[in-house]
Amino acid sequence: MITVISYPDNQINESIAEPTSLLATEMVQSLWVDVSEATTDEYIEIVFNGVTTTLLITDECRYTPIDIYFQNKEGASQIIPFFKAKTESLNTSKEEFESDRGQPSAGNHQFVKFNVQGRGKFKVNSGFLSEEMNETFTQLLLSERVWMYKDEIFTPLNVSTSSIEYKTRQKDRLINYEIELEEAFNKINNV
Amino acid sequence: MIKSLSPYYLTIPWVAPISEEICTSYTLQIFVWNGLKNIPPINPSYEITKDNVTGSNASDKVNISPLVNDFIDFTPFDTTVTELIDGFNQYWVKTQILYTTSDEADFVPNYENIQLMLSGYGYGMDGENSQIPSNNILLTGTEFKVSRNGFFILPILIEETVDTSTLVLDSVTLDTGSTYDYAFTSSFTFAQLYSQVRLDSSSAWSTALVFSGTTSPQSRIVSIGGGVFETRIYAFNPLIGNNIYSNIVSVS
Repeated sequence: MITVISYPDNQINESIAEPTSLLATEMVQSLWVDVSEATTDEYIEIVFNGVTTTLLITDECRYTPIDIYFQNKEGASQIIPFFKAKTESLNTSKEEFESDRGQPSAGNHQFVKFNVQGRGKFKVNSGFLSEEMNETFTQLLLSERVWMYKDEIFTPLNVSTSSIEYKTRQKDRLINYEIELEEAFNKINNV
Repeated sequence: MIKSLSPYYLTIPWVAPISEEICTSYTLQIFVWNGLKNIPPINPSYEITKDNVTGSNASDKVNISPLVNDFIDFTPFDTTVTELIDGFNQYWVKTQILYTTSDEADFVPNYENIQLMLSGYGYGMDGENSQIPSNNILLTGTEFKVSRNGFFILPILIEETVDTSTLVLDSVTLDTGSTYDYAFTSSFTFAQLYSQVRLDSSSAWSTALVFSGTTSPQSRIVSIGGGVFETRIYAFNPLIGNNIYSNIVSVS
């Protein structure tokens, strides 16, 4: 039995029988928790196999939190939220040729761009975390598949950040990670 | 469990287990599929034959991860409520060894093994063939901050279904002529029910005959050359992926 209960008011209160199967696609199950079902509760406890996983519900007032969905070390799906500032940017590439199509004074381009393309990037900040989350960030940076999950849409991303300096409460007091992610597709659709 | 982004080694003895002879070569067959565990494909996805050039009587080691990993193209999936949903990103991998020796009986499947494959990895210090956590929770950590308007996923490995299905042939009685009524009880649902007969003195069963219905009783004509015969019924249990056979009833 898997139980998902939010506290103190039990706004989420689910008991789900653990299924059994022999189908490959069913052998790994993902328990999705829609945190918004707990409108005022403060935390959620999930109990499976005698292990309690605690979800601390955080209200972020200033920024819009982003859920990053990735393939973790065990080959399963995991979500990590980034609560704080998001800084977006765009990298572009182009080719150019010089033409004699007419005088620039008549509005003609002497240097003409073509094959213009771009890829979006953004930096996100985790907000303050516990040291235990260092392992999750390790797995995020080692992941081959990453998406942003927003409004039921998966936006494919790649992690641009290639190194991470682990932070500790003893040395850094408050732990925040800034991760750079790049859109895994061109801005101008050419697929 | 195979974590296909790290090496997964099979240790294959050069000595055939049936004849206990040192083989001249072995053939490793690898089957990869995503259906029921009990129904692997007929043809292997990969077949590797390796000669025993030194005449070794020890063991060989083969890393199968590079072969099987490409079957998983990790795909995201979602739901909008709190519930359990299928993982989708995993396959079954069956391996078996056929030995070539002077004894032809060795060229049959040996060391058959079926494992679930995930597109995961082990760390450098985890050692060979690293496994998932023993609590079957496929993530690290027990405390997470989550956004009030966000989602959380707890991926888990579930237990395999244990086959407890039964099919009992209660009685077989003569109706008219050569038509017999089969009364039975079953603990599972099935699409088709089959019956077989054989002479009491024979060990070979007849070709299976499909009954017109699936509820008890069903009837069939038994045109077997007189005397006492034995009969049984069976049906395919789609949840398990196996044919479930009944007890054998002797009819005189």
